[in-house]
Amino acid sequence: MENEMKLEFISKSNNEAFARIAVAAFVSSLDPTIEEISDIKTAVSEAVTNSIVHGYENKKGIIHIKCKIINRKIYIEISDNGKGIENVELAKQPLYTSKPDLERSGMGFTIMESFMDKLTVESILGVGTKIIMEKEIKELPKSENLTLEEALRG
Amino acid sequence: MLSLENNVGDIETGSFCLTFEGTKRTGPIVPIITGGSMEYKYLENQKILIFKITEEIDEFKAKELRRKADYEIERFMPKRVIFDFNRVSFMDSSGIGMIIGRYKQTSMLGGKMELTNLRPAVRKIFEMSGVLRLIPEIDLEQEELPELQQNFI
Ligand SMILES: Nc1ncnc2c1ncn2[C@@H]1O[C@H](COP(=O)(O)OP(=O)(O)OP(=O)(O)O)[C@@H](O)[C@H]1O
Ligand SMILES: [Mg+2]
Repeated sequence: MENEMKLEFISKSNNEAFARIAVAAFVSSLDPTIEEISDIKTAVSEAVTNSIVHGYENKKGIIHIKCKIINRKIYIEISDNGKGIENVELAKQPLYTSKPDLERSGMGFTIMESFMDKLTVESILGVGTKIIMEKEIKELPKSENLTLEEALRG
Repeated sequence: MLSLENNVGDIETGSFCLTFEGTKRTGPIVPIITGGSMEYKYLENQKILIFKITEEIDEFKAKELRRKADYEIERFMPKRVIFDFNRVSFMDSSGIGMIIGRYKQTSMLGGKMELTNLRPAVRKIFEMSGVLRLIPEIDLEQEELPELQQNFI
């Protein structure tokens, strides 16, 4: 199967739910399990929150999401034109956060990395950050799969 | 047994009604306050404060939860704070920061904190980040106090 979609929205934290639910609905055509859908929603939420909190530092900006399905793989690209990351390797370390004062725990990249099959981070200081994630949705016997309604609810 | 009738408290109007059945009551209970993303119950004699989070936890919701929880923790200075996650079907790393922040505040005021009713997706995140090594997960069914076994609403 092949499919593609694009989303653009402003960097307000009340758009986080909208973003992850839209991606979950898009992926639901692959009949993911509850756990796969939940992993994808969490990974999307991490990347979008990072763009809002770190990329744009709560100022107004645009967040772009592109999703592609090729066969049983979902590719998700989330990008901002915000402040960028100086040292990507350091940023990806578990528990590293540049904003401990805002009660961040530094687990966002670790969650994206472990919940998805692959994570790529491209960032240029002052230009922006692009996160590319991919995950294969396993083929399962029908009974374990979710309907679209369940995916949205779960 | 404590039971709540339809007209439960509303934080905005401040009007609430509690009914008690039987005699198992062990002390005054500050009623459950509903509205927004969290409800709470306070057992005054035991100094136990229980929060029940009723929505998904992301950065947007975490802001509100932080503000509400801090207010109640400072007001009651409880010995035990329990966060009930029964109705939380989604949580991202914003929840980790929110819980650790409340843990620090509770500890600073001399109380301890516990988590309960974690769903698999939420437990996965707490486990991964090491939160469960710091803040234990408890089973309310194992508690002796009837008020703790009692479900909210
Ligand atoms: N889109 C982004 N733009 C700019 N900086 C970013 C972006 N995403 C991440 N970062 C940087 O990478 C660091 C690590 O990100 P990560 O998501 O792992 O942790 P966090 O956001 O600080 O905390 P948590 O995600 O646990 O709330 C951030 O503290 C920030 O400095
Ligand atoms: Mg983050």
